[in-house]
Amino acid sequence: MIRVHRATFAYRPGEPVLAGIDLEIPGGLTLLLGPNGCGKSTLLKLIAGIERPDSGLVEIDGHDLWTDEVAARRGLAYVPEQPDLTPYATVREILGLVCRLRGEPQSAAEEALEFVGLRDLAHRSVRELSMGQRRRSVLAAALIGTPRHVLLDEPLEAMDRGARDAILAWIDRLLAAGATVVAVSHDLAPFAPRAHRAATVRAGHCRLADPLPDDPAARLALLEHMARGEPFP
Amino acid sequence: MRFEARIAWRALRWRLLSSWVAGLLPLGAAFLFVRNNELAPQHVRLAGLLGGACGVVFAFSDLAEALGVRRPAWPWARSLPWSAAHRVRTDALLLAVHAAPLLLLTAQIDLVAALAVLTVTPWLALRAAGAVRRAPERRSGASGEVLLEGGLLAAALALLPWIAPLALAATPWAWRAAAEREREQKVSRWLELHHLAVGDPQSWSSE
Repeated sequence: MIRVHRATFAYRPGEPVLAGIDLEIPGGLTLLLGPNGCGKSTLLKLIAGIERPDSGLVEIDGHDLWTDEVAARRGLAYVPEQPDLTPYATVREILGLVCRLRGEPQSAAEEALEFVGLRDLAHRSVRELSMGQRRRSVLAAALIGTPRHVLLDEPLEAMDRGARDAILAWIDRLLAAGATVVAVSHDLAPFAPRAHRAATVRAGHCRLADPLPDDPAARLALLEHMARGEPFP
Repeated sequence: MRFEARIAWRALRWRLLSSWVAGLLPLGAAFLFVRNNELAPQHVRLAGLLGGACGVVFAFSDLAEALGVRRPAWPWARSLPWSAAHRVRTDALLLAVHAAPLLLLTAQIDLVAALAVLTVTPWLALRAAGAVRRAPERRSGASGEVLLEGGLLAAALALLPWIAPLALAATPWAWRAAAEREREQKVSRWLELHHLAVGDPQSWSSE
C-alpha cells in the first residue's frame, strides 16, 4: 500500500505544486492523469522518494519514506520520464549498484540487460547512449529484484513496438503478482483495460476514480476526461 | 572500489591534486615559519595546529566546491534503497581520506598538533559533505561555507587545542545535520548557480 497523507510540495516558495494530497493506493494499476504541468510527475517523485514533501508524509507499506528510508525503498522501482543517470558510470556499473542495494546477485543485472537489449552496450558510459538507450537502462534497473511498488512515468514514450509489448507484458506480470503499479501516461489505450483506478491532479489536489467503469468505452471516455483535467462525477 | 567513491573520483579528477596544493599553502607557510625561527615548543605546536587545520580546511573547501559543481545531485538514485546518511558518510570518508597526506605533513611539524587536527577532521569532513548539498543555493557555493566554518574552527583549535575532543564528540550531530541537508534538497529543481552540465544526470547534453 502506498499512502500519501496531506502532502504539500513547492519547487519554489509561494508557488505550490501540490497542496495537500491525500491518496491511498493499494495493489493493481493506478493511472495518474491530468494535463501537462498539473503535478503528476511531481506526485510520482514524492512517492518515489526523489523529492521530500514540504509537509505531510509518504508511506510505502507502513514505512515512512524519509524516516525509514531503506525499508520504504526496498521494494520500490521508479522509471522516470527523463532518464537521469550519472554520466560518470557505465550502464553495468549502475545496475551493479542497484543489485548491491537491493541485495540481488550481479547476474540479475545481466538478465535485466538481456531483457532490454542492452547487453552489448553495458560497458559503455552513459554519455555514449542515446535517449532511448538511457530509458532502457532505467527500465533494466526496475527489473532487478522483485519490486512490489513500481512507478512509471510515460513508460511507453519513444519506445519501439517490440519494447512497448515487452513493457506491457512486464506490467501484466507485476499485476498478476499483486504488485502496486502507478503509471503516468498520456497514451491511454494500452493502459485503460488494465487499470483498476485512476487519479487526477488538479489545482494541487488529487481526486480518485475508483472503481472504473466496466464498459471499455465508458472507461476510456472517463480516463480521457480525467486526462484533460476536466471535472468528473 | 565502491561505486560511490568511483563516481566521486571520476567527477573530481585533477581537482584532487589541486585540493592538495590548496592545503599545502597554509601548511607550507607553517613549516617555513617553524624552520626559519627559533621557537618555543608551544609555539611550534601552535604553528602546527593552525597550519595543519587550515590545510585540511583549504583542501576540503576546494574538494567540496568541485563536488558540488561537477557532481550535482542524482535524483533517480534517491529512489534506491539507501539512506541520506549513507550518501553523506561516503562523501565525508572520501574527503577525510584525502586529508591523510596533509595530516602526515603536519606530523612533521608537531605530532601532537597532527593528532589534534586528525581529531577534528571527521567534523570538518561531515560539515563539508553537508556544504556540498547546500552549494547550489549559495552564491559562495560549498567553499564559502567550508572556509568560514573551518577557518573559525582552525583558529579556535590553535588557541584552545582542548576543543578537539569536543569536535569529535559532536561528529554524530554533524552527520545528522548533513544527512538532513541531503534529504531537504529539491533535486529536480533547476538552479543556475554553480551548475555544470558536464556532471548533471538531468542534462541531455552531457559531453
